[in-house]
Amino acid sequence: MTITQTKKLDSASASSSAAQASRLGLIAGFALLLALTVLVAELDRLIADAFKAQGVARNPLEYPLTAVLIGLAANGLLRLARIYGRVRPAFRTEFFLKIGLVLLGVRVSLGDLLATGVAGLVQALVLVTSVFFFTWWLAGRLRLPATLKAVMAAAVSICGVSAAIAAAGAVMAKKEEVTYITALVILTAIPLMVLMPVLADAMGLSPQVAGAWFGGNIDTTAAVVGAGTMHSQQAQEVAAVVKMAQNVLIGFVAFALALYFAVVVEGGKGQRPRPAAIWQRFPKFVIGFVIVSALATLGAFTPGIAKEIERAGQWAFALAFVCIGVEFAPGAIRAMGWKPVAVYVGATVFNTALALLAASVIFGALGGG
Amino acid sequence: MKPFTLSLSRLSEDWQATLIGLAIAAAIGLGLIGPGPQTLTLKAANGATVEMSAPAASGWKTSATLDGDRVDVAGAVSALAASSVYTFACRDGAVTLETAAADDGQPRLTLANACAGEVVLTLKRDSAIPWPLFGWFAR
Repeated sequence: MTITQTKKLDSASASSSAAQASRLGLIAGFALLLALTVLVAELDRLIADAFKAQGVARNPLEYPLTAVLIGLAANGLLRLARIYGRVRPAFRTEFFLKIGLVLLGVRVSLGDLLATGVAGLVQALVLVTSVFFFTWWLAGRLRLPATLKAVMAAAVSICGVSAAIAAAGAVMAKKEEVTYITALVILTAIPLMVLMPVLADAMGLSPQVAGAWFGGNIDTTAAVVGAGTMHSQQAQEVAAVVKMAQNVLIGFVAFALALYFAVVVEGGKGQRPRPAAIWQRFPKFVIGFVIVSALATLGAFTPGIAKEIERAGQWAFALAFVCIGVEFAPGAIRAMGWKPVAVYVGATVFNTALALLAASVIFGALGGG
Repeated sequence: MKPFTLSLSRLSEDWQATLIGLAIAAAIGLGLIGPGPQTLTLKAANGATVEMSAPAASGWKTSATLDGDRVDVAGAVSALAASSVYTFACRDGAVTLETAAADDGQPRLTLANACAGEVVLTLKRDSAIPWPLFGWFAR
């Protein structure tokens, strides 16, 4: 055997063991995630029982918050034990969330979907345009790099992490910029997820308006669903549909950004995007949601079966909520300094106020109060 | 010609999640997980007696119509046990149930119609195996 052949064999063996280790990490990570979610369910029951014993009928610490906190605790412990990197591939917030959203279709009739979806799309057009350009302007004032500006504007105005990834691909942003924005998205989404349902109740918003407000403001879809869950069932449905209406705009924004960077930023030297990129970025789980919603509307599922599908979706959401906490990377924020944080917070405050106004006008006009 | 193969891992995360979500909905909806929705229907014209076997399970909801008008079923049970015969008798415009023991085997349903019109008896069971796992988040 020649030296070259031996080297090739060694390299093949090393890549095979790496693949095996990665598979084992994925399995171990998923098993851990399941165990954490079961723990969340058990804690949720215990907390609800404790509140009931005190005469509080509804558990104010709904399971999304318990899930995020358990996820954050696990995040810290895994990092301390230095095994975070190995099990990391199993923590996929967006993946579990999308499965949950497909299954949520069982609860939303096509009629409601059409009414909420159209109103949600109108609201999304208003919010995405206004918040995107506001963030772009504010980031320009603080002289942030063009790529970070684009990723941040997309994340705040559309749907957090997915939009940040899509925009980063369109403008060739640095990986650190995406990691940074992801951390900021989670950092702002968690308090908003907890505070917004409380504020909605304090302001006496109807479930429809509250749901539209959560959907139009909170950046990450998982936290939108979480806030809706913490408020009411109707708010969860409206929030999810409104957020999905916003999600469908990702492709258009990513396309426009790619075109802008190719023509303006790179002075025509960059590669122009193809219109097919719009479909490429289209959130396909929306199709799944519509299919399940159509089947439910046509009476394909009996009430008992629909309830079980809904509960399966609830599990997928719970997995996603735990992942929010586990995926949080605070180190990325420290590395970037205060300026991007200031822009992000400023844009979020603007988004919160504008989304409240838009939801009250659009969904209030639908009879949501 | 290259054979067409579909590998889930090659699909985007969006498509993977969509297909898995639809597969879960289909598996529960079609009863692949748990026995799924079941409906048993017995139809008997005036003076006729019909019978059929049924799965031994709980969670049944019974309803009946006489010439299309809903009538009450007195003594209806939600659990059908093995080695039992459930006789639904229609008399004077009302349906009553009598249960008797039988030899081994699946539960037997009998509909004896002495009413002036067609009787349709329906037993529905829409819940699959109760999943304690899913119930954990049920409040």
